[in-house]
Amino acid sequence: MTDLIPPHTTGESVFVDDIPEPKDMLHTAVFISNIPHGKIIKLNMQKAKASEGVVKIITAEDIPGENEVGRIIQDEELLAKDKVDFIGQPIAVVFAETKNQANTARDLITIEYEPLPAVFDPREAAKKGMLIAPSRTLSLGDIDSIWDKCETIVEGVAESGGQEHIYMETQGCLAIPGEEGRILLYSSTQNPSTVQNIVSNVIGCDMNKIEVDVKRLGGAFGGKEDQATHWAAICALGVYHTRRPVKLVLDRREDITITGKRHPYSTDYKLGLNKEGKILAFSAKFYQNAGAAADLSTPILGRTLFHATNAYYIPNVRVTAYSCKTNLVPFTAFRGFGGPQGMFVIECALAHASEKSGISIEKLQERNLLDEGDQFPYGMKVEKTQAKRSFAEVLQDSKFDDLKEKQEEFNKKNKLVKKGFSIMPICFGISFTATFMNQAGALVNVYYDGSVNISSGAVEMGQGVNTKIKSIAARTLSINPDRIRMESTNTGKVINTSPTAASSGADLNGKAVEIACKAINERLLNVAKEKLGEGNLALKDEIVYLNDEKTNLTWEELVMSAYLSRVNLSSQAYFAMPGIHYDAEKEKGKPFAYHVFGTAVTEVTIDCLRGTYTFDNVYIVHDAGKSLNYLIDLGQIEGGLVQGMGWMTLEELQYVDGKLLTDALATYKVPDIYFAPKIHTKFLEDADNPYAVLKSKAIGEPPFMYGIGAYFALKDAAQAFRKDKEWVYSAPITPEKLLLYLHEE
Amino acid sequence: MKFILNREIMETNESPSLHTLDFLRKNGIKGVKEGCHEGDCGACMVLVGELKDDKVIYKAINSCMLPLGKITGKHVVTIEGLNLEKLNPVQQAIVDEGGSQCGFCTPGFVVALMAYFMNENLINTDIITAIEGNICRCTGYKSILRAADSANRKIATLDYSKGRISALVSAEYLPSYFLEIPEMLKKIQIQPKLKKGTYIAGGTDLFVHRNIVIQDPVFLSELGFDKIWSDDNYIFVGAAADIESIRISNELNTLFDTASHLSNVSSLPIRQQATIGGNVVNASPIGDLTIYFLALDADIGLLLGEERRIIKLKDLFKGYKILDLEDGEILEWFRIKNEKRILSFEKVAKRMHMDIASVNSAFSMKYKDNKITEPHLSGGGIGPIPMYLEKTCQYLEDKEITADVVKEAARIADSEISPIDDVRGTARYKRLLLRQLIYAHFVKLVPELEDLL
Repeated sequence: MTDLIPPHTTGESVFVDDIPEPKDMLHTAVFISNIPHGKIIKLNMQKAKASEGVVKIITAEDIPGENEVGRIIQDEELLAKDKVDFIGQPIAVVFAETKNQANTARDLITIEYEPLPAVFDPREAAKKGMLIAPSRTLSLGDIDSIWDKCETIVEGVAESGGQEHIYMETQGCLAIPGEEGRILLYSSTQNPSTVQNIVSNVIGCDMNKIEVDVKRLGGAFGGKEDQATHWAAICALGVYHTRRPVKLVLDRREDITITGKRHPYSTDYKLGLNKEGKILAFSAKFYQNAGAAADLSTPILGRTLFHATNAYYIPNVRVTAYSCKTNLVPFTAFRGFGGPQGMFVIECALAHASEKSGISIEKLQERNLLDEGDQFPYGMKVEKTQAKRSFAEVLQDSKFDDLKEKQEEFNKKNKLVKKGFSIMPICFGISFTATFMNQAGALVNVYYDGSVNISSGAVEMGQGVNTKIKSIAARTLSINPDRIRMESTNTGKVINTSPTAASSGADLNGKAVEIACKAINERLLNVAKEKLGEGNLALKDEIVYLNDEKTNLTWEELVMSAYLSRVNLSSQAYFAMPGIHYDAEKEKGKPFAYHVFGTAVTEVTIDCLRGTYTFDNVYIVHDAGKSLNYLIDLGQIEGGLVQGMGWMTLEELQYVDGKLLTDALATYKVPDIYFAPKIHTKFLEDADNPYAVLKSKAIGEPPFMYGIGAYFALKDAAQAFRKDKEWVYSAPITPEKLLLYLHEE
Repeated sequence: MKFILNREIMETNESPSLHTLDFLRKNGIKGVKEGCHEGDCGACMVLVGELKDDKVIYKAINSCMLPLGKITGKHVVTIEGLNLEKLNPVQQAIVDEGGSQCGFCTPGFVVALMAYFMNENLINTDIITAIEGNICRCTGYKSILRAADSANRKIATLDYSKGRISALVSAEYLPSYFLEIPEMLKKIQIQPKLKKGTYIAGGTDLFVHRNIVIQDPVFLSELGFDKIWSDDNYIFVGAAADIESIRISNELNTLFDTASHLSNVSSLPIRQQATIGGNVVNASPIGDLTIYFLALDADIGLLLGEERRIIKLKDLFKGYKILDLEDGEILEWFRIKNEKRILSFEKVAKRMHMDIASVNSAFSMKYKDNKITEPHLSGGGIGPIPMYLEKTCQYLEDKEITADVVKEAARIADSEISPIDDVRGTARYKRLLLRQLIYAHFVKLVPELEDLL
């Protein structure tokens, strides 16, 4: 594969902090709250203001426009004015000549608070009526009358923890002043248009004065969807007040402390089976820990509900979700966007039901997988389901029956080492659940030397969207991809973009680029017709063909002729995903263009003496449609899986009184190279997807949820050592939790 | 201060305690990335080449914890200094295998892998070790490992008879200026002297602190305190010996499985910087090397001017971060008896590699006529100091190894400790874990015990 950005390996790839610094640039330090809830009584900045190198210190008072960064619900101040709601909330900002001077001055700021009672537990918040928005409920069938007909009913609580993104590049922005109050922002964001919009509100100017440019991100995973805005707005304020360039790049501890993470959830579930193991009923109440402001909590909550039944058909469902306001940093988007939290619960309920009914978990899962035409609780019927197929194929590929047999033998033979297995099917809906966001624009420019520049609304953050788009363009224009350069994502080139999120980057923007390229092709072939005459004209590998015969007309000549004939070689295009709609009142509709399916088998070995674990193998059969790029899709599957496994095992947000203790890589442990298991991936064959560009399927988020299998493999192994103790459904299973389960009375 | 940065000799008046990462980025070397500034991610990895017997030995080091003073007279290589006209085999393999997604960690991986290929001392090490100190959040590592293996296959076919650097240069995998480096380095060598100031060993804890400024730092590793040697009675380990050198030292591995025991201490780049003396003097209650040497009943040599005193390592710790150390006194060496003993080391952390232990423990003894003699048991993370479990040792003396004895030993150990709840685990977990690790020491020796415990 030659088109995978070579500059990465040579260190030439430029991230925000690598952009050459303008000569008179100011550095920034953010003063944050250190209590979880309280009124601000007095802010003392005298010493800080007098500190060497300080040019300006701003507080909420110095915001010319709105002191507001909430996109969906306007409930989040950029700089806390009278009251702080979480530890890490920005209060004041120092702009100084050097980073050290900014930090030194920041540390001279002191503050007095009147502390207020703080709430950290979502259930407690719900009890007190502290909700971000009204609760939502999805239902299907008649749940109330069905419980009597169930042979087995299980009820319980399932909890999943939050997760810090640890994108390797921390959040940051470089802001450059322009003429007439214009500001150019190099922002590390997945969401350039929202940065543009929020910054214009904060500054109090029109959007057309703010330009946001994004070359690439050093990872994002959802963390830079809505939370890159703050740093851009702070830098823009610095420019507004000083008319000098301003940079802020958070250091790792700041980033972990101040920015949002995956939402922790606590959920009550109830599930009923008939004698054969068919699920008759499922109900759940999800308590989402939203943190101190809405951020993206409400759509994330929606997706939790949409995925509450995962890849299963359940005829009677009622699932309710509460977004609970607590005094923690506002939680935000993270790969899967609430979907993993939903799927985790149904898998817990099934595991529980398996224990109680005596029906093996794999049988229970298999019997309830989605069939063509089955209805989801949100009213949509599943089309082209690959649930059963991927499930069957992965069992076959992993020789699951053999594995189970060997496991039994192994576990009998070894007292202190046990093996465990799990199967994790997934079904993930593709589209922004806010229907209006499913639109994209593109700008394709062909220079008269035949080279091509492409701008799209998609942000490259490692997921390979630029490579995919480039290959879509190359295929559509029938030219060598080396002729094509992907431009930075810029609000001046493609406007009103949706964030690059929801796995939709290539689907939406790729399609817009395809449309733009087709338009150019059409114009070029008209020029060819002028030169070669009527007939069946086509471009193939940079040559014009007439009636399937090669001509002498090359791409370069054709382009030059078009230019000389005064033909437009620039094409703007737009795409809106058709066929999707949702009625929020009725909670019914077709929110997704299609679903992604797949199944993973996970094998773990636990050391029962020490409570440690090693994941040996994960077998995956994944539905990538007709993959746009095998290597990229494989990378998304492997990377998503390992990140999901991290969420279920090592990655733990530990708080004391609202203060995050795990605020560095020394204490917040993400998977390392030894943690990653052997991964055996197979793509489903003959799985063309009619609903997306070039029959492909979105890839970014779905594989994350294979990682949930890690939890259930660990449970399987732990229970091979010890059965007499009740299993508590609480993720992550750290080595501590495992050892305590294995050995504590 | 003079050193070679990539192709050129650099001279700077910056503070010797300035982090090399910050120096490099300030000077426009942007291929070196800041991911954590604490040695936990490897995005800032550089090569540091040191002149030894006319040859330059290169190691990958986290530049975020590397003070400029430690690169004086050395060759620092960043990704920019490795780049050729076309991609080298490591870079090409990463491209071919899709081993780079967002790209932020990639230069660090390339540098770490190049260190593996350039350093013949790593020839018997698995290539995964070379990148164990690098975190990637995108790929799940598999594509990187495939790339590493593929590059390894390609590079392994080279003819190394004239040395690795020369082979890599001949194959055009490494820029040719590397051949001139030994001569260039000779010109900028200065003989360091022990002088008054702040003594610094590896600095891997100290330089976690950002913007730390240290007056007159004296880097002990440059002053010959890093040797490991033995005589008939003792093995000596210089206080500034780095952990990797200790891990692979012949002296220790003749007697114990030290190479395997210490393989999950931090990461290779950190092990090459961190020292045993630093680990001990830092007085962390959880230092792996401290715990290891406590169970070997080590003595330490302390030097104040010309005066030397020798005390037991276990007597050094007086309280949380309080040591029996005079002002200006230098920890010179450790010594253990040069005799075969049974030694077990156990460490459990949240992540099995590159993590600080929740609890660690080491145990050594002699075993004659089914009886334990001279037992030494230590544990970390279970009290304010690295603990030598005196009472447990007393109990174990002269006992036969039975399930009851092991259980009783664990019970006594539990009465000696005072763990607290912290980010490494709850007190209740640490108590349980210490018990389990004590069991583990004995189960490894007497496997039948596993049925009894």
